[in-house]
Amino acid sequence: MEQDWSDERLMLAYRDGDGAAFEHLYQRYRTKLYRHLAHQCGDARLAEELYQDIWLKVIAARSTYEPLASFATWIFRIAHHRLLDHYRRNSRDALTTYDDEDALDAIPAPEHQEPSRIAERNAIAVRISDALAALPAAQRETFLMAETGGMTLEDIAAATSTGRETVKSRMRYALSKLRGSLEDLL
Amino acid sequence: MTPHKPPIDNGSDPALSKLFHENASGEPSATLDAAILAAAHEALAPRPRQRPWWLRLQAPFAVAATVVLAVMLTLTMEHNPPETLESGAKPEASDPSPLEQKRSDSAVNAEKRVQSEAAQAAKPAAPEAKTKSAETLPPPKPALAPPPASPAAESALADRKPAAPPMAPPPAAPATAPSAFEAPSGVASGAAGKLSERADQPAKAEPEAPLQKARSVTAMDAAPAPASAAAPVRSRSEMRNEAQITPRLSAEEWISRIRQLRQQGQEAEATRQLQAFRKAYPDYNLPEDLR
Repeated sequence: MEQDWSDERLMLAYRDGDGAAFEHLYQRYRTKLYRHLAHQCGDARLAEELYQDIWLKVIAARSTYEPLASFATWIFRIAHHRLLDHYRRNSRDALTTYDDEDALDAIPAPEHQEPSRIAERNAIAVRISDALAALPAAQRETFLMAETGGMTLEDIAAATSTGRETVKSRMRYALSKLRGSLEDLL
Repeated sequence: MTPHKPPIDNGSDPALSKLFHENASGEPSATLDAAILAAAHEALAPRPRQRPWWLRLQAPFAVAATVVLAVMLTLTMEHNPPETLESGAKPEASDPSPLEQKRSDSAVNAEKRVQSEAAQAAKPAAPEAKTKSAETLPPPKPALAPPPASPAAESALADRKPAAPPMAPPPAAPATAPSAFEAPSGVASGAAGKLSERADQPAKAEPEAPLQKARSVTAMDAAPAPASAAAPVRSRSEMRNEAQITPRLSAEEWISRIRQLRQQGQEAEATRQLQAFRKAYPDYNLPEDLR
């Protein structure tokens, strides 16, 4: 029965003390969120660390959850902020302001994975990962939120605290660059 | 043929999406899943509600307040002990005779009146005192009991504690009538006469024996004690004992006694007797050699 519930209803049930509702919700978003983070930071260990932090924040915010937006928007918003914190601590170019719309665009792409790991991965997947890694963080995030989170432009705008047109523009640029890198595979 | 351009204006590219999803990989580990699910269930466990700090400290506060209150009460009791009836009731309860208590309470008043009257009569009566010095002491009269007091005063007097000592320097017995004035007082004879007139009225019913006894004791207390210059401070009992031994002296005899002490070189005793004489006869004109 709970499997048919919406994400928001499951989260409300968990807020009211239903642990099983959380388990269903977790199964729905575990892969999406993990892959989103993995492609964002390019490191599996870092992705797991960020992944755990984000879910712990979801659990901590259980008592104050209100379905003002979709659950996907809410959890990816948490992911967005957690990534920003990571970038601020680890990025070479320090962010001056949090509300800087161009801040994410200025963050350089993550470094390539170690050569020892490249052999373990599928060639196409590697090329996709490399193509995503070459994108600016904001464009990459926009693309991944759309593809992994199944979010609309409006949801992405709400999650990233930006305007819809900004998101649309980032998406356009991201698709254009990816297409240029993976054209032979399309 | 131009390559097919995917519709990207709407924010999506189906071909890329398909490529991305077909080659997507990566999932969280089982350990990570278990840790997150455990944290989610632990968050649902009821936590012991912490009481506010003022509730947690309620018992210690109560104990401290009780201790402080007890200490304050103890200190207050020590500084301001309550007046008990025992200290005031005992004399009343043990007072055998309310009449004696009345006499003692009114003795002071009577003595004051006598003093004032004696002062008035002292000057004209001085020559008479010399002639009467050799006379024996008038018989003790019950009439020298204190003058009648008003009913209200009598009740108030009955509630009083035993009277202060009489005017005579050695303190008298508690239940005493005016004593020193009566004794060898040739000076106060006129006043004594007036006293007797007054005292005759109400006091006839009073028993004479206790009065006489008290008077004799107190009168002898007023007389100069045997010379004993060694002890500057003498107890009442000592003085009373001496008074019982020495006979009653008139004022003139007392003065002559003082002169004798001086001649004998007992200056200290003479001075003490002189002081006692002045207390007994404050208005008496001392001879120049004794001033």
